[in-house]
Amino acid sequence: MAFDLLLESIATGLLVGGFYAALSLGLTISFGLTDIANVAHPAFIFLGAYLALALSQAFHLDPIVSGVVLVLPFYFLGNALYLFYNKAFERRGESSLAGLVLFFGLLILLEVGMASEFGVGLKAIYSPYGSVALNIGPLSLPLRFVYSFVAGVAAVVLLQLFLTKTFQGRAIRAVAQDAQALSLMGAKPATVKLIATGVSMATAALAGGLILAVGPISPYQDRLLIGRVFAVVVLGGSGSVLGTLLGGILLGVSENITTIYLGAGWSLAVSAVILLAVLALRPSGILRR
Amino acid sequence: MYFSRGRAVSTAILAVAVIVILVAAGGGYYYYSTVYAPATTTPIKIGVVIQESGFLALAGVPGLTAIKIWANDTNAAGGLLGHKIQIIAYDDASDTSKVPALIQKLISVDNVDFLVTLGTVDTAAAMPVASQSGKIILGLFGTNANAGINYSKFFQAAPIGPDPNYDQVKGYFELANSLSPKPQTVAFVAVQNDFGQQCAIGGAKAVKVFGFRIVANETYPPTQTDFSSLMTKVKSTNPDIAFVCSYPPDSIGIVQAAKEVNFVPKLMGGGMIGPQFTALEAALGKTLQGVVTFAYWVPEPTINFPGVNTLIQKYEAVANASGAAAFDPLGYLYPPYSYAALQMLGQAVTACNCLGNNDQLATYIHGHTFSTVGGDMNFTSFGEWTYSRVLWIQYQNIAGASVNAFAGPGHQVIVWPATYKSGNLAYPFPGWQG
Repeated sequence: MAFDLLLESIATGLLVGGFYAALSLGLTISFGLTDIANVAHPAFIFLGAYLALALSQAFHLDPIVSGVVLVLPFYFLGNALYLFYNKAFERRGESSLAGLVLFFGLLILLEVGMASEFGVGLKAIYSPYGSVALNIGPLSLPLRFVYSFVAGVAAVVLLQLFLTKTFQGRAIRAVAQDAQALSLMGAKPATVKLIATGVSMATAALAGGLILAVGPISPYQDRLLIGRVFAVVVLGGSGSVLGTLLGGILLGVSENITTIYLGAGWSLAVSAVILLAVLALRPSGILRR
Repeated sequence: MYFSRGRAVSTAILAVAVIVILVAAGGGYYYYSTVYAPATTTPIKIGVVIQESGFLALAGVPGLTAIKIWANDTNAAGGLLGHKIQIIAYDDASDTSKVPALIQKLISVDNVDFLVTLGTVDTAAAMPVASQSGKIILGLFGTNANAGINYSKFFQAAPIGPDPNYDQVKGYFELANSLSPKPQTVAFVAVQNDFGQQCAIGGAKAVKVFGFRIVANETYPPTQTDFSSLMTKVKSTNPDIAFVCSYPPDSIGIVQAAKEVNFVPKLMGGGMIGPQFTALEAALGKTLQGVVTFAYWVPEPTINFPGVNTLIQKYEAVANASGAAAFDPLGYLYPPYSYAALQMLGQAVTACNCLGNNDQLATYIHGHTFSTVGGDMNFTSFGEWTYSRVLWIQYQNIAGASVNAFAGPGHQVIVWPATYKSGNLAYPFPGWQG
């Protein structure tokens, strides 16, 4: 029985980790690769969740499918956001503190906007797999997390292929290392960041669909998410997509094992210790970019 | 001085962002007041600090709506002692730290006659300032907020009882104690916040009173996302009773996870806040079938107090007309007792005819019973109900996942106390459906 408990906690931790990774991918790109400290990213995830809710209700779509449908509009939203950021701050060398203030302002605007438009209460959507488990041997795996894990891993794989196999992807990785050298090679850093911000925001749409599939949402819930997604990004190695997946899994599994052996109340404390330990031993995270 | 256009643009954007942050951080100060019925004589000002935004607005918006309905009803009937009612409401944005200053503003600047707050945490935050004012304070659902202060002009409207921690949950264990065969073991699962702690304290007391045995005592942080491992662990202790003290998002996660890991105790439920909210009920649908939780009022024929159905109709009309998702479309949880508290105040002001003398008014309230849409209420010296009337309901006959599946009688069946019982408990818990 004890072994079954351990096995189940690891398995569900793995699934939850994939979910965490999906939520954190956008920050990995913006924070880790383009040096844009978009602290409003979790709020964009919830914007995605609310729009996915509206789509699902209007067209009877699965929330995850709704999230996928929103990927392209969010890509363009990311483009627009970067154009604004670039024109107002980055081009004038005011991207650090002023940019941070902008994103904080945006975070609050989004929260207030979502509360006004969608209401302040918790919203949820019924899905046929909402409380259903996939039973494999002694394991009961929540289907909503199984699907979130699959979607998260698929997003990680696609993003990794994009960043390593395409010109634009390699340019995004290059801009993080040396924007000036990139411009000498004929690529415009601003254009590269335009694409990167679009991709980052596109992942927020998918994450929004996943978060809606997993549980209820409310406009201010993003604040509960900020710490966790930043922890995943830092754990994994800022800017590393595969590292984000590993960071998410490490956090998910450790939280679940802690729940079984110490109690759920200790899970955050144990996660913090793991984060500190990783940073002490590998300051650049599990995988360097 | 040279000031480039670009720099001007970025400065302007920064200024706007800073203003937005300040406005949002200031919260309630900028959500000034709703005034009803311009006074022909000096109005009676009722100052309300409530959660119109933020995560507790799910409670605050329905509560304030009921207060406004009472004000409109009262003004339509000519007011109180010839005075119209004026509601001055501030939004604390679900941020407790804003409450004392907003209360102070109501007292010093708006010069209100009465103070109203909603929820235990906000009411407790209001008490140190409010109790210095000498004014009557109505703490809607502000359970045990007067503990240690013992302010004689505080009145709590929810029907919890004189020993709030215990009275809030004792019905669940009294119900369990009456079952045959009697369940023996209990697993506690509580959120790590004030509500969870108080609920668990009350539960522990009830366990001793009724002779159950605790086999699991788990807590979790409010940020918990996944409850699978927690439920798996609780399941491994094989309890007869699951006693859950949870907040709205967690309640949903716990129910989902319990079903996913097929945790089937004989009695499933507890002091769960969340299933009572219609949007969440609709999202869970049949999954809630068989779950037992508390309620203060439900539309069962056995608890049809005079005026309550009319109130619910008015509330639902406002909720439907607004179209805003902030409204609980059915309004069974917060509106009845929010309205009832003001109704009690109105009756007291009229009968006592002592407007302006709060000492006399408080003494009058302490000495009388008031008939309201929430039934008869009277108060202990520290402002809680003198008796407990927390209802324990079991979800039954849930046809699907929609608001209509939970509307009207027959879906939230009262299984305790016997006085208001509207159906039999399905026992043992028949297992998860949906």
